[in-house]
Amino acid sequence: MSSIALGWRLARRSWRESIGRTASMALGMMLAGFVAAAILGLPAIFDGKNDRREEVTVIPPEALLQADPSTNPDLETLPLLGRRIGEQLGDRQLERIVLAGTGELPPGVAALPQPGEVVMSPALATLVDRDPLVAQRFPQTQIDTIADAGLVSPSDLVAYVGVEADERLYPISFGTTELLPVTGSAEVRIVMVLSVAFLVLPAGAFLATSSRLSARARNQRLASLRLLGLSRRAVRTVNSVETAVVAAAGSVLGCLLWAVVQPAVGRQGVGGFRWFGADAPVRLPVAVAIVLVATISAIAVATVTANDAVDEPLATGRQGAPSVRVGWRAIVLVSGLAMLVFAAVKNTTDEAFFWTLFVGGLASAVGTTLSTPVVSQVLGTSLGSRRAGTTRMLVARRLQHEPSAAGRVLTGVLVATFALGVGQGVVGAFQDASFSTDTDTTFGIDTDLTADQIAELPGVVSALPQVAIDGGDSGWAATCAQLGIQLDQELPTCVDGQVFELTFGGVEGSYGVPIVEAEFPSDSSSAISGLIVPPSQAEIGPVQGWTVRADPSFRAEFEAALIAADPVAFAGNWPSDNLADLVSAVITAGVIAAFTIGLAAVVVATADRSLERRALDANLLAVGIPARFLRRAQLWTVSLPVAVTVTMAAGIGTLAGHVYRQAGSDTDLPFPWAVALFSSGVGLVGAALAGALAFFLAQTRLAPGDLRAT
Amino acid sequence: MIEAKQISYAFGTDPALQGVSVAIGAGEAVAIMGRSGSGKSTLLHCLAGLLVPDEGEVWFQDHRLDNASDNERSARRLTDMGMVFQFGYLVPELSLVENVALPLMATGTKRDAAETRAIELLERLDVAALADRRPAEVSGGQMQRAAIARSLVHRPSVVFADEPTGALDSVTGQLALEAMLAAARLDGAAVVIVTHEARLASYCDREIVMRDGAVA
Repeated sequence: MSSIALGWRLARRSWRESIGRTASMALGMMLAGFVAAAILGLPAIFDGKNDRREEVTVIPPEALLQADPSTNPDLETLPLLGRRIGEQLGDRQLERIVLAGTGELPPGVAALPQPGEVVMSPALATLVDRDPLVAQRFPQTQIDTIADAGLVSPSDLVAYVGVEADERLYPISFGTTELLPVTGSAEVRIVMVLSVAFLVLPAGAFLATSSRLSARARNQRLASLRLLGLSRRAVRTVNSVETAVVAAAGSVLGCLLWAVVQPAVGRQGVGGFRWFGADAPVRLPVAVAIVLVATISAIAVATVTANDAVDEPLATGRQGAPSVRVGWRAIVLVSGLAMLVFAAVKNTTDEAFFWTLFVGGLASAVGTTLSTPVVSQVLGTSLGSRRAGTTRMLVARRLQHEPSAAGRVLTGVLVATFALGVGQGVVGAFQDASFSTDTDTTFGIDTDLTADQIAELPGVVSALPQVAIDGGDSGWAATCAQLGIQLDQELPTCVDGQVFELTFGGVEGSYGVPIVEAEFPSDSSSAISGLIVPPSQAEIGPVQGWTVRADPSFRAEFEAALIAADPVAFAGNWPSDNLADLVSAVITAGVIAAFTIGLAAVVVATADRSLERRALDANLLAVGIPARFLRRAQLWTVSLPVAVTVTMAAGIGTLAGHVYRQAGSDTDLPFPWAVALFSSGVGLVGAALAGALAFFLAQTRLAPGDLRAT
Repeated sequence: MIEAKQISYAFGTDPALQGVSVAIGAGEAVAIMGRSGSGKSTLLHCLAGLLVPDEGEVWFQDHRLDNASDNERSARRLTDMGMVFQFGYLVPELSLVENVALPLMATGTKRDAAETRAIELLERLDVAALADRRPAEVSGGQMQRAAIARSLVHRPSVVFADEPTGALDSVTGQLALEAMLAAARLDGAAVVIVTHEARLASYCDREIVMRDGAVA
C-alpha cells in the first residue's frame, strides 16, 4: 500500500474516531478560506464600485469638453439641466442631483422627476421615513426609488430632485467619463493593508491552531508508523494526506460560504462599508489559489509540528519531554520591542519611521506569540516550588512539560488582543487627523438667499458675500467688525469705509491699495484674503457666493434649512473625513473580526487540548485522585499563561498604536493606559473563557471505555 | 474484607461477568487468572469500584461500593486502595517521586511529608536513585516499580494490579511482582492481581480462575 493510500485510510479512521477534532480542524480551514475569499474579493468590490461610479457620475459641461474634441457634444443641445450637490448626513454623504427639463435618464431611474417630485435611493427613502430632519430636506413627492444599477453601493444616499430651470443649472450628462481605476488607489491600499493586519493574521493563527489539533494523538500515531518501519518520507506523506484532505475540504467550504453569504453581508455592511453582491463574485482561479495556499500552509504546519514524532518516535511513543528551544523566540520579541522603542524615540513621519514601526509591531506580535512557551516554562518553574500543593504542582509540571501546548491555545487570543491594542491607537490617530467639531469651520455656499436669510440658518456665526468689483476683480464685502468675526481675531489696523487688501504673515499686497495684516487662522480653510470692500460701496457688483463661518455641530440642521429655503443651493468645502471614516470603519470591523476569530481559535484549541488531556486524567481518576484537582489543574494550566501573555500583548499592542498615533506630533500624548487596560481586560475575559472551558471539559468520570484504554 | 456477591456486567450487549461471587480477606494475595476476554480485568475493576456491576453487590470493609456515588468510590480508592496498571500509567510531566507522592498529597498530606514517604517506597522498590526523573526517562520495569510504589504510598488495605507485569520481560516482571508483594505484606495490604501467567500466580496465596465471565 502506498503512503498516500495509507494516509487516506488512516485519515478516514481517525476522522471517524474523533469527529469533534476533525470538525474543529475543518472549521478552522473553513474560516481561513472564508476570510481569504473575503479579502481577495476586496479589489473586485472596489472595481465594481468604480464601474458603477462611472455609470452614475454626473458630468458637468467642463468635463464634457475635456474629452476627445471630436466627440464633444454640443452643450446647447443637451436638454437636461442639473446640478450635483453634496451634503452630509451625520457621518454619511448625501448626493442630491437637481434636474430640470427632459432628456437622458439617470442610470437606475425609470422616469425623470418633475418639479416637486423626487426619486431617491432605497437607503435614503428608509432614512426619510425614520428621521424627520432628513424628511425636512425632501418636501417633494417621492415617485420612485433608484434601482441597483444607479447606485454605487446599497447604502448610497442619492436623490434626483425635479426643480424649475434656474440659471445655476447647467447641461449635464451621466457616466461618460472614464474614472481612474481604484484598485491601486491609496484607499484600497490602506483597506487591504488593514485587512491583512486584522483578518489575515488572526485567520492564519486560526489555521495554525487548527493544523495542530490532536497533535499528541496524531504524533503518537505517526511515531507508531515510524516504529513499524515506515521511512520518514512515508510518514510525512501519511501526515500530509491526512491534513490536506481536511484542509482542502474546509477551505473549499469557506470559499463556498463566502460566495453564499457575501451578497447579504454586502447589503448589511461591515463597519458601514456596503457593496452589491454582483460586484464580488468568488472567481474560480481565486478560489483554487485559496484552497491551494490553505492546504499547503496546513501541510507545512502539520509537518513542522510532527517533526519530533518523525525524528524521535521512541520518545514520542513514551510521551517523552519535548525539547523546546526558546532562545530565538525571545530574540524575536526583544527585537520587535527594541524597534518599537526606537520608533517612539525617533517620532518622525518619514517612510523609514513607518517601516520601523510596522516591522517592530509585527515582530512584537509574532515574538509575543512565539514566546508563550517561554512564559509557560517560567510560570511552571516559579509555581513548582517544594511547598506547592497538589493542584499547583500539577499545573507547574504541565506548564514545564508541555510549554508548546499553551502556545497552541494562546495564538488566537494573542493576535486578537494585539490587534485590539494597535487598532484602537490607529483609530485614534485617524480620529485625531479627521475633522474636529470643537472649532468653527469656514466654507463657501452658492445660494440666492439674502444675508439676513443666511444669518438665520442654524449654526452660522458669520457670512461674507464674495462680490464682483468694477474692473474684473472680486473680493469680499465686509466691515472690520464682520471681518474680525469671520477670522476670529482683532484687526487693529482695519479702517471702515475704504477698500483694502487683507494679507497674512507679512505677505506683500498686489492690488495697490492699503494693506491690513492678519494672523493666519488655525483653520486654513477660513483664510480668506485679497480685496475687502465696504458693504456700502457703490461699485460692488452681483454676489458670486458666500463664505460662511459656522459651528460644524449644526451641519445637518444648517444643510436641511438651506436646502428647504433654496433647493438649488450648494454648500461646499466642508472638511471631508470620508477616508478617516472608511479607515475607522475598516479597523473597527477588523478588530471585531480579529477578536472573534481569536476567541474561536481559543475555544477550538482549548477544547482540543482538554480532550487530549482526558486520557491522562483518566489514569489519575483510576487511582482515586479527585476530579476537583484535575479540573482546577486544567483551569490554571490554560488560564495562567493566557492571562500573562495576553496582558503582554495588550501592552505591546497599545504601545505600537500609541507610537503610531504620536508620530510626528509635537505634543506628548499621554500613554493610553485606559486602552491598555481595556485591551487586556477583554483579553483576560478570553483567558477566563478558555479556563472555564478547560475546567468543564476536564475528565471527571471514568467510563468503561476509559478503563479499556487505560 | 472485600466481597462480590453474584455480580454481572456487560459491555453493551456483550456479557463480561455473569453471577460472579468472590471474597478476599485482609492481607491475602489473590491471583485472578484466565484467558483473554474471560472477564478477569472486569472483575478487578468492579472490585475496585472502577465499574459498577449491572447486578449483584460489592462490599468493601462493610461498605457497599456498588451503590455508592462516583465521588465516594473515588475517595475509597484514594484512601484505602492502590491501583497498578499494565503500563504503569504515571503522569508523564511529573517526576517519579511526585507521581508516587500524588495520592498522599491529594488527601491533604503536605508535600514534604508525602515525598519523604514516596522516597521510602521508591527505596524499598530499588528505584530511589531515579526519583527526580520523569517516566519517559526510565525503563519500563523502573516505571512499573514507581507505579507499584504509588499504589502503596498511602498504606492501602488492598492493592489491585491489572496485568502489572504484562509489559515487562519475565525476569523484570518477576522482580517487580516480588517487590510489590513484599512491600504490600510489609504494610499488611491485601493484593489482587490479574494475570494469565501461572508462574506469577504461584507467588500468591490463592488463585481465582475465570472462564467466559464466570469463576471456573
